[in-house]
Amino acid sequence: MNAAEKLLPIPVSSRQVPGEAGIWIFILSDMLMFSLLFILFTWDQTAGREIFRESQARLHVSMGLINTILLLTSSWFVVLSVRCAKQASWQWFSRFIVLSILCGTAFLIIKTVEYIAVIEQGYSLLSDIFFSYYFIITGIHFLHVIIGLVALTCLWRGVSRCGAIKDARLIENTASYWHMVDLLWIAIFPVIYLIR
Amino acid sequence: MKYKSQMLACYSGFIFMIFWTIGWFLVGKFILPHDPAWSASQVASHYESYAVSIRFGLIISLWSAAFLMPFTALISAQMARIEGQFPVWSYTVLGIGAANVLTFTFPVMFWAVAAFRPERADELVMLINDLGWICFVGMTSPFLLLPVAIAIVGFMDESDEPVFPRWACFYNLGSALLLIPGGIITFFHEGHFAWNGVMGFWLPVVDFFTWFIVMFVLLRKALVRQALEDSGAKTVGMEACKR
Repeated sequence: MNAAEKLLPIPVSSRQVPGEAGIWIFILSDMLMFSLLFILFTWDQTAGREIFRESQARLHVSMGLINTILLLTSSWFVVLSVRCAKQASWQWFSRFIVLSILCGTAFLIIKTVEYIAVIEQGYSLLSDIFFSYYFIITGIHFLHVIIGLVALTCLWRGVSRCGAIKDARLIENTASYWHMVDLLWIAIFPVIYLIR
Repeated sequence: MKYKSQMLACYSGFIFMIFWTIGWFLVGKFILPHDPAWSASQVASHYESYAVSIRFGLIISLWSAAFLMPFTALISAQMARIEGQFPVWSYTVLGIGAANVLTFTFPVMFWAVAAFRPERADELVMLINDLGWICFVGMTSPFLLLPVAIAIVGFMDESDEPVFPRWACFYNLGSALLLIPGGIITFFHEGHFAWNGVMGFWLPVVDFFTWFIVMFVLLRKALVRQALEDSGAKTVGMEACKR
């Protein structure tokens, strides 16, 4: 492809599980929190189905759908960037990382617009139990997206500065985390926006 | 001596954990957190019914809280070994350690004030009770950075047998994340996010206990290793302990 090809391929792990054991401890503890939130949500939904149905109808499903597509696309770019890293094609790695950052940022912008729209409709964290869950679950996820974007930006800066990333663990860990953020949203979207 | 004093600091964490829990949970009648939806008269009658027990339990908790400091100082000292000349994160952890003692003493003092004159107007007892609970469960800020600081320094450790292995660094980051729901208790009087709820109370409490146990085991292991390295012995016996 270009001069970057001259770099030695990084030893991306050939193990079955990507990333190192530690990142999976982090991911599992995070998943634990979200699973707990989903269980509690379902528990309360069963108890107050009417409130949930009415409030859920006020949400902007289209924005949620666009965000789902954005995060899925972003995850796909990350997959491509990992593939480029394996081939030591750092220029393309960098480009795909930038594209995934752009998708992630677009997610945040759309989510903020959605929050503003919902708040302008007169709903807040304290309006009812459904909106409490809506703001808390999507809010914690929002925070996750920000952390992921910081990690992706660090990868991008690493390549911009040094021309390559020597430690394959950094790439695998960030990619695993970003896929988790995506996966969480794929669970959040139907649970909060769709299932009635 | 080096080894002994550090090991003492490690176990002082246990003294804190055991006595604080006994004082608070068992004697102080906080075994199940008060319901934030209680009326003022319910809160006042709780303090009136158990005034002596609460005061006694809170004293046990209060005294034990100081023992958290040597434990955090030990974490800080072990971090300083990794950081070397400019141990900024170790200093941060030391500062957080001092602040954490306040997190465990100030709410106790507030509850003690409530139990001091339970015959006061109900609303006043409720106010002080709220003050204690919101400070206790909601004061996530100084503690939140502690696991993060440990992870930052742990990731920098390039020795063969790091004090905080990489998995522990990730665990610390995850543990910090699980504390976040504790910070939003001020919004809720009832439900899972209130100060007696699954997300508001139990998740952060279980998370803190587990974090403490993991850190205790890691620090103890690191100390034993340190003693072995210093003494050149193969097992930690009396020789290593004399150091």
